[in-house]
Order: sequence, then structure tokens, then C-alpha cells
Amino acid sequence: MATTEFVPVCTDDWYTRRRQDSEGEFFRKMADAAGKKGENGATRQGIYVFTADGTVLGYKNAGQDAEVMKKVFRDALFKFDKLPEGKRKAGAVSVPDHGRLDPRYTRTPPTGGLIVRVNARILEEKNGNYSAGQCEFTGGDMASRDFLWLTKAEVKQLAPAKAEVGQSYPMPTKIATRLARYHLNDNTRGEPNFWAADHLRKNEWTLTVTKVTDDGVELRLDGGVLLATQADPTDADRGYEGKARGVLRWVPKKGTFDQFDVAVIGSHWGDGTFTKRGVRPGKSPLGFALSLADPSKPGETIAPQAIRNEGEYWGQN
Amino acid sequence: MTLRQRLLLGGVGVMLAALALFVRPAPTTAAEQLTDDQFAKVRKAVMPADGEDDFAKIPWLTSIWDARIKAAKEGKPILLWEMDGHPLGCG
Repeated sequence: MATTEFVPVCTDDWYTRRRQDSEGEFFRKMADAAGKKGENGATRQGIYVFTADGTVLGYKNAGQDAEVMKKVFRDALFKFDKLPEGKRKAGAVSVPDHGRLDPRYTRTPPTGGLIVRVNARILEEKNGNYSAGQCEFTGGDMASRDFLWLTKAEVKQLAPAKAEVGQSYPMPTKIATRLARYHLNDNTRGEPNFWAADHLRKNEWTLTVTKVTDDGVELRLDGGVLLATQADPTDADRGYEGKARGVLRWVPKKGTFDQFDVAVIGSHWGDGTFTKRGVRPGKSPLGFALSLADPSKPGETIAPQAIRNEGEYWGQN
Repeated sequence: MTLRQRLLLGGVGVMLAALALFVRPAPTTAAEQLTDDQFAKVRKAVMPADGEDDFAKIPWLTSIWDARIKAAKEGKPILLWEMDGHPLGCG
């Protein structure tokens, strides 16, 4: 239904409700009409149905029973069909140019850079085999999603200086720091607390050239991290100790990587401000899988969760 | 051993233990590295299974303005999922 009857769109309310541009103004006006006024800058999150000209057809908080939402959608379609043709017929509504975007609250992938999808999942380990863990929080056993962004310059810094089998070199510090601080978090139950710079007790990543062909340079990535909120991990209320393995392929002719497959497995403990529900007691396995994203899909170009503070994400502060 | 000596030794022990906490962890050794087998098993266990990630297969747009243009062109209403933390990427 979402695909055939509607134009589906999703955005991060943290940005949208703050934007001082055409999109932000349109959204706030439409949300006001839906009764979601966001007093004093509060969240306006939820599920909205509306027309291209901003006429509200329905609103409901997210997290409802599927049947409740189906009724909201059916009612909205019924209202849509009753609208005058000038509000609903294909080509009847004229949408003006967007105009200037508010740079404070818009994020776009770096030109010529790399987008890496980061899935995380709570796991169970038995005899060296891994399976999905169980979580009391609905959806907490599912794979989470986030995206790691690298600039064009960083991609080149990650490439081998020499295409010689056996050549080994450390991952550039800025990339290793971003990877650990902002992408090795337990986000399986919602927005995580990110690691502070001084939570990185160990963060070592080494790339080694394993194969060189005319088409590219294959690399093995080995890593080990210890992230903890206290210097003594036994005192830390939140931590993660893990090891990593990856296979990357650098393509000199294209100046980029066409393979970026990484696995990280380790023990996680503790929770965050918004992830207390369903947290597993003590230490438990948490795994990560990194893979190249497909930037041709809009849903794979959304901003990393941690990039709200853009300067910190890029390591500029 | 006098009480004073025991306290002194105890203090030295505490100090050594504290120093040990500040010693930089040793680099990752081969024994600590993931094997190819573990690499494959972890990735398989973590990545979305068939049917698990159907939500992400919906061709979501990520701009309300782009959605307005498409909706106007196709004569459809817009379905917006608005969340604090992007629905396609915050967990």
C-alpha cells in the first residue's frame, strides 16, 4: 500500500523541524494543521498523510498496531478521493522551486566520497557459531542500520601507498576514530549514546595488501577495540571490547573502493539515555557488519546518526 | 611484618595496580584476530535476513520537497514517516 497508493518519504525530525527554508516551513505549517505543533521546539514525530499542496489527510503517532495504521491510511485515501480535482489530479498542483537549503540542518554525502552501510545486531554465541539474540524490546533483535561517511580525501588516505603484497599500514587515525566513536555503538534499540574521545581505550586497525591484480588491490583489515566509559573497564557502566576482520578492494583506476566488507564481534555492556528498555544484563555479544552502500537509492544516502554535530563527526573539533 | 610495613606494601600494590590500568594495551596479536570463518559467520548473523529488511525495500524518498513534486506529478497523497532519528538509519 505504501508504494502503490502513496508517495513514501521519511525524514529525521531533528533536522526537519528546525530547518529555516522552504521544506522546514512547509513541514511546520502542515504539522501545525495536523495538530502536532511542537511547542517550544519539541518533536513533531509521527506518521502524516497529506497532499502535495499541504492539505492534511491523517496523522498518527508511530508505534501503533498495524491494523490501526491501515485504517488511518484507508481513511486518508478516502478523504483524498473526495478532494476537488485541483488538489489531487496528476499535474494539477504546482510545486515551486525549493530555493536555498538551510545548511545548518541539511546533510549531503561528500562528493566523491564513500558511503558504508553499518548493520549491528545483538547476538548469541554457541560453539563458535552466532545467531540473533533475543530482546524484550520489540525489534531489538533486528539488525540496526546506520551509514559511515568518508570524504574523497579520506578514501585516498585509506588506500595503499604501494600495491605490494605484504605491505601493512595503520588505518588513518581520523577514520579509525570516527569508526569507533560513532559506528561501534549499540543502536539496536534506538538512538545510542556515542563514545567520547576519551572512551577509546584501544582502537587499532591495520590494513595489509593481500593480492594485486590489474583490476585492483585486495586488502585485509584487522582490528581490535576497547571502548569504555571508565579507564578501568571493570568500573565502566558502558563498554565494548571487540575484534574485527575485513576484506577491502581498492581500484586505482576508479580512485575508490569497490569492496568494503567488515565484520566486528565483541562483548557489549551497559545502555544509553534512550536505550534502557530491553538492555541485556552483563556482557553479551554484539556484532557489526559493514558493506558498501548503494548511493543510487535515496534511502542509502541518509546522514549518519552522529553527524548532527558535523564538526565533531568529521574530526574538525 | 609491622603494620606500617604492611600498609606500605599495600600502598605499593595499589599503586602498581593503578599503573597497570594506564599501560597501553598490547597491539592485536594473530591469536586475537578474527579468522576467515568467523568473519563469514559474524557477517551472516548480523546482516538482515531475507524478509527482515522489507521496510528498507520500500522506495522511500528522503526529501519532503521531492515527495511533493512526485505526488503532484502522479496524483497521489504523501505518506511521511517523521522520527527523531532517521527511520532508515538510527537503529
